Amino acid sequence: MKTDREVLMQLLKYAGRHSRFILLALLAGALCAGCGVAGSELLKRVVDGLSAGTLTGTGSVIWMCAGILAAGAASAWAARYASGSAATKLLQEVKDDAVLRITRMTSEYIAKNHSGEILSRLTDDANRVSNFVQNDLILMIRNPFLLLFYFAYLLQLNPPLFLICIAPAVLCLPFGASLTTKFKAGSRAYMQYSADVISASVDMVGGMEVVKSCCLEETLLADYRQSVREMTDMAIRNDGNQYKGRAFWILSGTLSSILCLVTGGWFCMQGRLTIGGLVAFFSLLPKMVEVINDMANRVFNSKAALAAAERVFAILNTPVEPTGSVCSGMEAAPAIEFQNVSFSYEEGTPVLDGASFKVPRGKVMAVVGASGGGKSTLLRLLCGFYRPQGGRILVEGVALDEWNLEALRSRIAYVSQHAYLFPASVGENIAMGRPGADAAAIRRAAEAANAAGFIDELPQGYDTPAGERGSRLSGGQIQRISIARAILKDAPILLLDEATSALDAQAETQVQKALDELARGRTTLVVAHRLSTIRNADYIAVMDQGRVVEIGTHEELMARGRVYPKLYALYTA
Amino acid sequence: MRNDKITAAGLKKYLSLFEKSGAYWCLLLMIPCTEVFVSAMNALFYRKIINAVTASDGALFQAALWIAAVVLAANMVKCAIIYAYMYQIRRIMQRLRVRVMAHLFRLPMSYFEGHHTADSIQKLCFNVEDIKNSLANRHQQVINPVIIGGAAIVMILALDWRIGLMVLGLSLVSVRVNMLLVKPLHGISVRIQRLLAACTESLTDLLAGIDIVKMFPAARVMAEKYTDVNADVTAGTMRRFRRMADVQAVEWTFGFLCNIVILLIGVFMSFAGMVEFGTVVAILSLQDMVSYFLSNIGSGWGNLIDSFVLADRVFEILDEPVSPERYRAQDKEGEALSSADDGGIVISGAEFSYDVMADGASKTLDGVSLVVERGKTAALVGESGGGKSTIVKLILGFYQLNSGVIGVLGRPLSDYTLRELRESIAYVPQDAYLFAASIRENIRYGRLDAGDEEIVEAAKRAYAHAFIMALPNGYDTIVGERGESLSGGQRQRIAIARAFIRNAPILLLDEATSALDAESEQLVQKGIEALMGGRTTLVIAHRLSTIEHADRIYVINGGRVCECGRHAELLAQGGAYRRLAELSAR
Repeated sequence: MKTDREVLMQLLKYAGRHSRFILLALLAGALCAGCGVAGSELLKRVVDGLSAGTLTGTGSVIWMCAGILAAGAASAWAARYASGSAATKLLQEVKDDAVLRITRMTSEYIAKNHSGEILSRLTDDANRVSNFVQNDLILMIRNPFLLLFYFAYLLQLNPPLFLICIAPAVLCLPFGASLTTKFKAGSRAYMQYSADVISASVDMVGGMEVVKSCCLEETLLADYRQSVREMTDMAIRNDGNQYKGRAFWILSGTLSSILCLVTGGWFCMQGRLTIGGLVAFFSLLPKMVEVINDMANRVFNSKAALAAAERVFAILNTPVEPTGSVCSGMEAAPAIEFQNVSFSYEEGTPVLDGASFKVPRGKVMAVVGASGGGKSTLLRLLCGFYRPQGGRILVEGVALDEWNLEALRSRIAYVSQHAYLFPASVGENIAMGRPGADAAAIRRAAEAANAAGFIDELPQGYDTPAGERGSRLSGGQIQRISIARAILKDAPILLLDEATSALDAQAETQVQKALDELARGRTTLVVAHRLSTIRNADYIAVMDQGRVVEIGTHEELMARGRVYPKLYALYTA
Repeated sequence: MRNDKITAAGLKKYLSLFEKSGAYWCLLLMIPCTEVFVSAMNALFYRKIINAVTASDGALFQAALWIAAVVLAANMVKCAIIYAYMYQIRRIMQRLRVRVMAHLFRLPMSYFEGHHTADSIQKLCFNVEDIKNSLANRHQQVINPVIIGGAAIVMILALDWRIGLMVLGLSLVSVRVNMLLVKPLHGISVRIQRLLAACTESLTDLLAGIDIVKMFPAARVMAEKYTDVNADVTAGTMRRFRRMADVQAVEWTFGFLCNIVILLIGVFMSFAGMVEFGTVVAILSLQDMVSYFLSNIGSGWGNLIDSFVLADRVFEILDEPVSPERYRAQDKEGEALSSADDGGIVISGAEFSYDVMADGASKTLDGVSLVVERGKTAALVGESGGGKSTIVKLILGFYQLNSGVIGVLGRPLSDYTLRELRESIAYVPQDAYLFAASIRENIRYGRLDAGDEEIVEAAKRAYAHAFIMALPNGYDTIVGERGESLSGGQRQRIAIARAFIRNAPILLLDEATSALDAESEQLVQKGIEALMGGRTTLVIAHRLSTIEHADRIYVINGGRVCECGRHAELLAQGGAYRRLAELSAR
C-alpha cells in the first residue's frame, strides 16, 4: 500500500501536465471573484455619489461597468472551462495509460484480478479522481491562501482577537482530522467491497445460462441483496465518520466567528477596538467561516479521492512483463528446449516439476498425458506469459529471459484451448494475425483453415460480427477462425492446444488437413487428444506428474514405453 | 425522458426510479430551509452585537449571546439533517441496486445474447452508482437555488412589488436563457453515456483476450479501440464543459446585472420618493440570495439533465419485458403430443428462428420432430451450426418456439412454469461456466440444499474428486474468473458433478466430453453412463463412442432432422450419418 504522499505525488504528476489549465482556473477564479468585488465597489461609489450629488462622468462609469461585466463573464467562463479541461484530460490520460499498461502486464496479475475489479478501478474510481481534480483540487489550492489572507487581515486588525479567533479551530480540528484517517480507511474498504460486488455481478450476468438452467435466480439475488446491504451499511458507517468530522470543522468555524464577534464587541465596548474595526470583522467573518466549512468538505473529498487514486494507480504501477534484448535465435540450435523446468501457479502445487525435452527444427511434437498435468502450461511458458521458477527454457538456442519479448512472440503462432474472438467482424479477427493483411491474404488464410466455406455462408460474409466471445458462432467455427489467424501470422513456431477438440467430425477432418498444411516446415508443439494428431507427430512426449517421462516416435514408445501404450489403449478403446 | 422536453409523465417516471423516497425529498427540502434559517440567525446575531456595542448595552449583548447559541445549535442540526439525508440516499441506492439486479434476473435469455455483458454491467453497476450523485448533488443543485431564490423573491415582492416584479422578471428571463443554453447537453450526455458503455465493453474484451493481444501485434487495435473511444469520451466531455462554461458566463452576467439593475432602480426610486431608502437597504440584504439563484440555476439544470440521461439508461433494463412465468399454449398441443408421448421428451414440428423478423430461409429450426423415450438416450449429431444447441436450449425454455410443440415428462412446455421445467432438467453446457467462487459452491449450485458429503460424492462420480483434492485448498479452492485457473477438462468435470448433484429426471448434455483427454474422457464417460441410468437423456455428441450406445440418433442438418435410427441402422443406410462416421473414424 502506498502512502498518501506517494499517491498524491503521482496524482500531482498527472495534474502537473495540465498545470496551465489548473493555473488558469485558479487565476480566472480569483479574477472572477475580484470582478464581483469591483462591481459592488463601483456601484457603492455611484450610489454614494448620487446621494451626495457629486456624481460626474456617467459615461465612464458605464464603461467601467461594462468592462467589469465582460471581464467577470470571461473569467467565469475560463475558470469553468479550465478546471473541466484539466479533469477531463487527466482522466483520459490515466485511463489510456492504464489500458496500455494492461497490455503489458504479467498474465499472473490478470489471472489474479477479476475483470470486474479492473473495470471498477477504471470506471468508478477513476471518475472519483477526475471529479476531485475538477471540483476540489483547485479550491484546495485556493482555500489556504484565502484563509491566510483572512488571518493576516485579522492579525493586523487586532492580534489578541486573532488568537481568540483561531483557538477553537486549533482545539477542534484534531478531532476532525483523526476522523479523516478513519474515513479514508472506510472509503478504501467500501471501494474494495463494491468492486467485489461488481465482480460478482460480472459473474452472474456472464453465467446467466447456468443461472437460469440451475434456477439460481432467487439464491443469487438473495446473495446480491445481502452484499448490497453490507455495502450500504459500510457506506453509512463511513458517512458517520465523515459527518462527525465535518461537525467538528463546522463547530470550530462557527465558534470562531461567534467568539470573534463577542470578544470584538466586548473589546469595542472597552474601547480597545474601534467600531470601524468591528464592522470590518463583520464583513469578513461570514466569508472566513464559509472557507472553513468548505475546507471541511474538501478534506473529506480529498481523502476519498486519494483512496480511489491509490486503486487506480495500482494498475499503473503493476510490474510489466520482463523482457530481454535478444531479437533473433541461433541457426543451429533446436527450436524449443526445456531444461529441467519447474513451475507452479500457486506455491505448494507444482505443475511442472523438472520437465526436460527438445523439439528439433521443423519437427512436430505431440504432448500427451492426464488433464491438469501441465501440458497447456508448457505452451504458456513458451509464450512468455509466465516465468518458470526453476530450470531454463530455450527458444532457438536463446534463453527465454534473454529474448526480447516482442521478437520472441513474433516467432510463435499460438492457438489456445479456448479460442477467443473479439467482438469485431470475422475478417478483422483473422486480420489480427498480421498487421496490414489485405482481403486476399485474409481469404487465403480462411481457406487454409477450412473456414472460407462457412464464412461465405454467413449473412455478411467476412464483415459478420463475431459477437461477445464469438457468441454468434459455433465452437467449431470459432476454432477455425482462430486457426486462420495463426495461419496468417506465418510464424516459424506453432503451438497448438487441443485445437481440434470441439469440432464435429467433418470439420475436424478439414481442420486437421489445414493444420497438417500449417505444420509443414514449422516447428510444432501440440497438446493432443486426438489419435490422428498423435499418429502424425514426429515425436511424442508423455507427461506425468509435471515431468516428461517418455519421448519417442509412436513405434518406439509402443515398443518400449511404460506409460504410453496404456494411454494409447485408452485413446483407441 | 427520451427527448429533451421535460413532461409531467417523464418526471413521474423519473421519480418512480426512487422507491420509498418520501423522507429523502423532505430532507432535500429541509436542507436549504435550515441554510436560510442559519443565515438569518447569523444576520440577526451580527446586528444585535453591533447594536449592543454602539449602544454599550449589556443586556442586548447577552441577548446576542443567546442568538449565538441558536446559531451553533442550528449548525449542528444542519449536520444531523445532512447525515439523515445521506442515510436516506444510501438506502434508496440499496433498493435501486437490488431492483435492477432482480429485474435483470427475470429477463429472457435472448436479452443476454443480444447485449454485451459489459453493457449490462455498465448499467447495473456504474450508471446506478452515478445516480447516487444525482441524489446527493444534482437534485440539490436545482432545488436549493429555487427555494432560496424563490424565498428571496417572495420577500422582495412583499417589501416592494415593483422591484419584486423586476427581480422576478429577470429571474424568469435567466431561466429561459439557461434552458436554451443547456438544451444541447441532453444529446451530448446521451452520447457520452453510450461511449462510456463502449469503453467498458472494449476493456472487458481486452481483458478477456489479453493473450491474443500479446501474441498478435495487430490485435493491439483492440487496445487502440479503447483509447479511440476514450478520446471520443474526452471530446464529448470537453464539449459539455464548453457549454457549461457558457452557462457559467451567462449566470455571472445575470447575477451582476441583477445587482446593478436592482440597486440602481431602487436608488432612483428612493430619490424619486417612490420607496423608502430603508426598504432598498432591506432588499439589498436579500440580494445575495437572488444572485445565488441566478448564478446556480443554469449549471444546476445542466447537471440535472445528466440525471435524466442516467435514469433513462437504467430504465433500459427496467423497461425490458421480463420472461413470462410460463409460455403460452399453442393450438392443439395435446393432440400433437399424445400420439408419441410416453413421458420422455417429445418435439413436434418445431420451428424457430433467433431473429423474429427473419424470413423462412434463415430459420434455425425448420420443422424438427423428435422423441426421446422415457429413461432412454437420444443423441444429436450433425454439422456445427446446424441447430443442435438450439434444440437443447428450447427444451430448457430459453426461447419460445415460433410454432410446434415440445413435451417434457408427459406435459407440454406451456404446462410448466419455467422454474418447474428447469428444476426437472440437468444441463451440461458446451462451455462449462464456473463462477469465481469455491469448487464446493460451484458444485452446490446444482442443488442448493446439497450437503458437503453429497458434493464429494458427486465429484467422485464425475471423476473430479482426485484432482480437486490435489489442489491446495481442496474443495475450498477458489477458481478464477470463469474458472480459468482450471483446465478445460477439470472445468467440465465440475460441471458434470453439478449435473450429478442436481439429480433431475432429464439430462441434457451439450458436447460434454469435448475438452477431456482420453483418460478422463473414459472415466467421465462411465460417470455419465451412470448418470444416464433411468434418466431421459438428450446428448449433443461429436464422438462416436459417446453415441454408439444411444437408443436413437438424430442427424440434424440445416435445422431439420435428416436421418434417425440406431447406430447400426444408420450406418447401414449409408447416408449422412455414415459419412460422418467414416470421417471421424479416420
